[in-house]
Amino acid sequence: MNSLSTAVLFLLGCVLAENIVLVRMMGATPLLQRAGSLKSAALLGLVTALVMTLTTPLCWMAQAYILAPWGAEYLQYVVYVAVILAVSALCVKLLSQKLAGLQDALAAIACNCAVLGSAICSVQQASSLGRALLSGLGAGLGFLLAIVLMTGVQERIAASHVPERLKGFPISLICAGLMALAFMGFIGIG
Amino acid sequence: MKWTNGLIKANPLLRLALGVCPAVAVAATAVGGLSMGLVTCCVLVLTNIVMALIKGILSDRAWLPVTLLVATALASCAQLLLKAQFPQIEETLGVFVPLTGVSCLILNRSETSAKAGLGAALADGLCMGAGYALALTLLGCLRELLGRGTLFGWALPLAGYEPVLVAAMPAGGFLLLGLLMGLGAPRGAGKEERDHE
Repeated sequence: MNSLSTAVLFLLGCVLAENIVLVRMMGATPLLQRAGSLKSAALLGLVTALVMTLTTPLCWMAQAYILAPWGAEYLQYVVYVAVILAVSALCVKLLSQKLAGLQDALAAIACNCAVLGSAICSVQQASSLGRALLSGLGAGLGFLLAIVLMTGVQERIAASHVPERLKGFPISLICAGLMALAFMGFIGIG
Repeated sequence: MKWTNGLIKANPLLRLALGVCPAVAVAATAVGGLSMGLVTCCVLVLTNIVMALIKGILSDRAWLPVTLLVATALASCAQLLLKAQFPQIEETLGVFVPLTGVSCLILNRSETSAKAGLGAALADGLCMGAGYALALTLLGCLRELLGRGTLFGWALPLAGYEPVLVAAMPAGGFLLLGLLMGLGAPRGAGKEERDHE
């Protein structure tokens, strides 16, 4: 198998079989807390995916070239969070000039445990910088997919009758559970 | 605002839906839920104290990055301590201990209570942390009982009980947390009221 198809399969596995939200359970909170229109959800998902694609290889490099040679692994999480804060602040600042509705997105992106989780997992598992980049991209696309699907479901919920006690968070969680159940069908890809 | 609200009335997990990820991922057993809850509680209380002490020298723009860095540093310490003292628990909780540092629960509490002063930060952190640990342990017990037929690792005398495997899986975590939240919802609470929190 040539390297391109290996890369595509690996990416597909990251997005579906190892979906960061619905299989690895990181970053579920923005899906629940930030109910909005499909457009704003897609925008948040896209920016988060961009931040993840950038921060995952950066954290991998920081670990491989700076922290590990100097024996400073105990600082790793603090360094990752600093990288994530810097990159997401930069992305939000640059993009909010072009796109409306991003001004207060910094907290939602930097405080998303999927971003840090993706960096930690890639440092533990990825054998090369290329793999780290692909796993960051895969995790980001997985988050985008999950938040768009979830917002679509929320729109359908809003138009239907839900038992009084399940309105709000409970019904969203139950729908997320059903989606996670469906994603178990992808186990084995990639 | 009453500080004891965090225990039940404004329980961070069951009423405010904060810190859902660890609840779904590691609270698959009673021990997992209890230990994750205690770790989060310690990190939350200490972060609140540090933020309350240094709030005078921080501008509004610096609040978010400093909170996340302080909480992550404390979560790293928690992970190193667990690794040294309780390696088995550290293995169960895995990546979710350092992820406590970017938990929206801690950011949310530091923004509301640490800005109100040291006493408020301590009281609110303790109550919210205890409420979170309580909710996680409850969910962990429920999932372990349904998914494995045991409680805190002890087999229960349930002859012929077929475990519902999905309860111990992430999908079951979402479902059971949703049902638990719905069961515990205050009577007649519509969506508006909870959105308002």
